[in-house]
Amino acid sequence: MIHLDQPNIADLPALRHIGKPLPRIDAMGKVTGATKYAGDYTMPNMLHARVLRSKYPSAKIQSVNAARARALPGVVAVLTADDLPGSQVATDIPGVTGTAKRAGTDAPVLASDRVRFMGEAIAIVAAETPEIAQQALDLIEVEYEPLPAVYTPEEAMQPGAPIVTEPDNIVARWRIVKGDAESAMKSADVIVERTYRTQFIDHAYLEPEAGIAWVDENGVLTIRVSTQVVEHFRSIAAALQLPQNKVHIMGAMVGGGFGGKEDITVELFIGLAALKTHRPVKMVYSREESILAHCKRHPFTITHKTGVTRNGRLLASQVSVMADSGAYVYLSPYVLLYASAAAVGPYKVNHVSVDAFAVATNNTFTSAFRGFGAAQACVAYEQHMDEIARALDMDPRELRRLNYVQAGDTTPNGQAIRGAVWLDECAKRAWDALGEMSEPSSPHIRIGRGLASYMQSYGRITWFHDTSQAWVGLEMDGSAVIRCGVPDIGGGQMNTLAQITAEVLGVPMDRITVYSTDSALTPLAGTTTATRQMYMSGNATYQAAMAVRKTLGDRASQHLECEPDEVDFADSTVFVKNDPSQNISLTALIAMCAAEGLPRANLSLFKAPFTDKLDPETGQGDLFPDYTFGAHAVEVSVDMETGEVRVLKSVGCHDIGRAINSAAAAGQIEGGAAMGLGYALTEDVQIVNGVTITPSFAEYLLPTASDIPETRTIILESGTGLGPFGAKGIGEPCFTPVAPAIANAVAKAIGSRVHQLPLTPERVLEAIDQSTHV
Amino acid sequence: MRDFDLLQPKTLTAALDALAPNDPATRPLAGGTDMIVDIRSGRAAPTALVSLQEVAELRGIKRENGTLQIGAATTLAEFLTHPDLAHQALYQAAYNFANPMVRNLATIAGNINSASPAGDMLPPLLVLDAQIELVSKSGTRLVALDQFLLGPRKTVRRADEVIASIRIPALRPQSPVSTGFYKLGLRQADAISIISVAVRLERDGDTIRDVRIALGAVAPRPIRATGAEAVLRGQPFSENALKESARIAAQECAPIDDLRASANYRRRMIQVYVRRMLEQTWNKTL
Ligand SMILES: Cc1cc2nc3c(=O)[nH]c(=O)nc-3n(C[C@H](O)[C@H](O)[C@H](O)COP(=O)(O)OP(=O)(O)OC[C@H]3O[C@@H](n4cnc5c(N)ncnc54)[C@H](O)[C@@H]3O)c2cc1C
Repeated sequence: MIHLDQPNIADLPALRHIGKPLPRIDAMGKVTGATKYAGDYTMPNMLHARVLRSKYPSAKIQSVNAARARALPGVVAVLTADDLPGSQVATDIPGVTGTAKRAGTDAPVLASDRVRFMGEAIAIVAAETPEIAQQALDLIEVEYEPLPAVYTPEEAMQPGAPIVTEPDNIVARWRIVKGDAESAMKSADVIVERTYRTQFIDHAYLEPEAGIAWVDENGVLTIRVSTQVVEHFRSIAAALQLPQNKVHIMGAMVGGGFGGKEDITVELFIGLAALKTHRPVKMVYSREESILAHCKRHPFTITHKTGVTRNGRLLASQVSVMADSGAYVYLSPYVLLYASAAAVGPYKVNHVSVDAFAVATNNTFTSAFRGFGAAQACVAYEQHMDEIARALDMDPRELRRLNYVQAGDTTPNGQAIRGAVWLDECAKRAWDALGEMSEPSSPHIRIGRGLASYMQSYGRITWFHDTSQAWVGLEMDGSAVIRCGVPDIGGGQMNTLAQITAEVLGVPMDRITVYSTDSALTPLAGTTTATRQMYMSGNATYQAAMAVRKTLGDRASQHLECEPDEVDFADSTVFVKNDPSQNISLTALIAMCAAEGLPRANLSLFKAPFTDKLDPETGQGDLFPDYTFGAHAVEVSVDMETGEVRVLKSVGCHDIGRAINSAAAAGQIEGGAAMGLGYALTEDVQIVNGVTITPSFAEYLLPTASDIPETRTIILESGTGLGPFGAKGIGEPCFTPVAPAIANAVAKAIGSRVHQLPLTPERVLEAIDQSTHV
Repeated sequence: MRDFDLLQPKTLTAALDALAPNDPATRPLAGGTDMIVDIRSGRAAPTALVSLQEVAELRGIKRENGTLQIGAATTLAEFLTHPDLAHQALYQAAYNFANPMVRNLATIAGNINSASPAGDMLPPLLVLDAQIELVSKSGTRLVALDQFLLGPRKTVRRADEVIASIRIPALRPQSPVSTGFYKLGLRQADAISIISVAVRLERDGDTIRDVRIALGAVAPRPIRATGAEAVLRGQPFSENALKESARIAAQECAPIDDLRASANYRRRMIQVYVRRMLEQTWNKTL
């Protein structure tokens, strides 16, 4: 069982900042353009670097000849694998003390003898201008010998298939066994078996990968980079053979992460170039480079076989899962684990068996992406629920209602579900908010509605032994400083910490300064991934602020001659709760504490629950700190003659425990709805025989403002989350149910189903043809 | 990106002087929404660009003897606001064109000269019998758009010529005429057409006096579906006649498979949208 370290929120009588849609501290800089992103920084004497990338998806490198490139005026260095013998990008998660690595092939920083995907890095050019660097790339001669390749996991698992990663292309495998699915299947009245497929998609953040590296006056390699993970300084140090305290990561505001900046991007290229040239080196990926050569969302093939009773009880579930890991491992084992653990969704099934593989191919590598495998799982299980309902001739919402998990139930991996489980409430509220059914605008238009529910973890896998630290202090003038290593990737991570501190210490928001994302100067807070920062760094900040409050409150109670628990903090004043006329200004209290040598600051570490690894055979054991529950409902129109789909209405309803900033929470949900719409309908990184045929935003189609309907957000607050004030995480979860809800709505409208995302008009029309031919 | 010279003539004469050597590496530049993209991607490598942005003679819209003269430098945004350009087909094509930012820059002549199979203004201009006014130091010629377009990115324009205007002949006022355009893309803005259809229909009581149908993105260049037109011309309006015309249009086109759609789907969509656009334009003349 997980031991819960939930902060005590009873200490705070009234909430003055928490839950309010306060203007975010980062808003002004963003709307005026003043905010600097990593690519906006320049330094005197700076060089510009570019990467030479493989032209083949699978080839032996016979030779690399950079002589002509080196001779080009303005080129300062051309670096190849020879400059960094044997180095690998560490593909395990930094700070993780237990890993599950199977593959014997790691991603090299620069390929030396062979390349495994088109776009793999082979050499770096550092030059006086970006143009010269680009020109120099064309002068590097690489002799390739193309090798046999595999482009689908199915091919890659065939005996005798070309090997992409040792020993057998299988980079990860998970099994989850609960009860006896095979026997239980026999007692089912109805068995439904279907296969669902998802595609590669791109993170498509506004800001592509970017950074600038230099060696500082103390000999420390310093890298200003757009990243979700400042702790990469450790693997950078390992790859460049430096002590860990000689690598310093400085963040900047991140122009979108979505998991795409969870792995190392430009750090090693510019770090190496800065060490070699003794000059600052900057690198900014082009959009095309980002699409070609950085990680994608894993395509999954998921087959569900489900046994149900005639009246709709789920009895047994057998799920097989196959993910394309692309050419290198990166985070595939964990993405696969999330998909496996989430495979049956928020439903109670006593007999489950999940068998999951992640398999290497010569496609662009895949790794973290909002939803991290759990989203692909939802695309499958929520479409499957609708198909089961159809087989039973039952309302799909009723089928869900009958089978939703409840508090105290256990997940397929045997973890007890805690806190409030408002699945039914979320589904009902989202559905009802769709309102009146739209009228079809012409006879060939049909309207359909669909819903998807989900449960999704927030916080990292509990055997990763996750911690976060924050420092909160008050200055003599009553202003506050927060130091916390959290990368702000646009979700308002820094603002959240400020709002929590404002609440606890009664300091106005505009008197709080947040220092973040600095591996040397701000306490390490862990990654902005896994929907963990509100939970982890929110709690660390809360704890630190509460410690300061305790010291000051105790001193104030002496001064005000009351009990410590009668003291409250608001508007830079400390007062007796029942008699605010008894008060002292915060500055006077701080001066008093300073004169007596009492601390006005605190560094606090928050520790998530720690557990052992899952049983390798049965996948049993605790896996996550907690879950968020919610639902998304949509209404679509489908043109029955052309297959064109429009989303007319879109509603997300989620129990997020407590909204710290309700506007920021709604923003996440709206963004998730837009991203999910793209996933469902238009976005598809098409990789054909290892070649990306959607190399730019002209081919890779994000939904535009004209494609996205107004999204309604309904925020429920059960107050039962493990974050500060009972908050849960929402960053990833809100994306998860959107695509399956759209797929269900389309299926409802046309009377048949496309089992493959995205639902292009052509695929939808094919499905319509099939249903009308039957 | 290669370096190039940028010339910014203030008059048409100066622009024509700059182009007079008839060097294919010296190219006119209008909004740059194709040209700059092509240069960046390496598809084009001009040594000099002759910007037409400050050439006043290429701007403006006027009517002369019923003929509408659209200045070459008219932007797509202007198509949405200018009262004289209120042909439904042109308006619809401009409305669904790119996005507001691109529409503010992109010009009609740029779209015509780019001669993309999916160029969205081309099918409406084809059904309106548009003529292209080409000007050079050695004179002026008028070429029907249908003759002007040769294939993907290929036209009859010589390197020393500038498109000065697009001319649309007067519609015969005695009979009701209506035009329409539809673009099928994979999203609602900023999409390259999977197919597009433009129709111009002239009605006389219950008969279709005249009809023009043009198809985009289903052949090496936008085409007139003359067979589909022929079965309707002079015929009484009927559902079946429209269906037959649509069926023929689908046969007349020559689409390809690409990453946006298959040839089969394109053909089928031509059939659907030719029928729908015929019906729509017919109903609008009621
Ligand atoms: C994001 C984006 C979206 C787009 N969406 C669409 C769309 O939906 N539909 C569509 O059809 N197109 C679209 N385009 C393509 C492009 O915008 C159009 O073709 C546009 O009309 C080109 O006009 P321009 O003024 O920008 O031409 P430029 O790029 O300046 O020039 C294009 C070509 O025309 C030549 N040229 C320009 N003016 C003259 C002249 N007066 N005489 C002779 N030659 C001339 C140039 O030399 C060049 O060969 C899009 C482009 C972008 C970047």
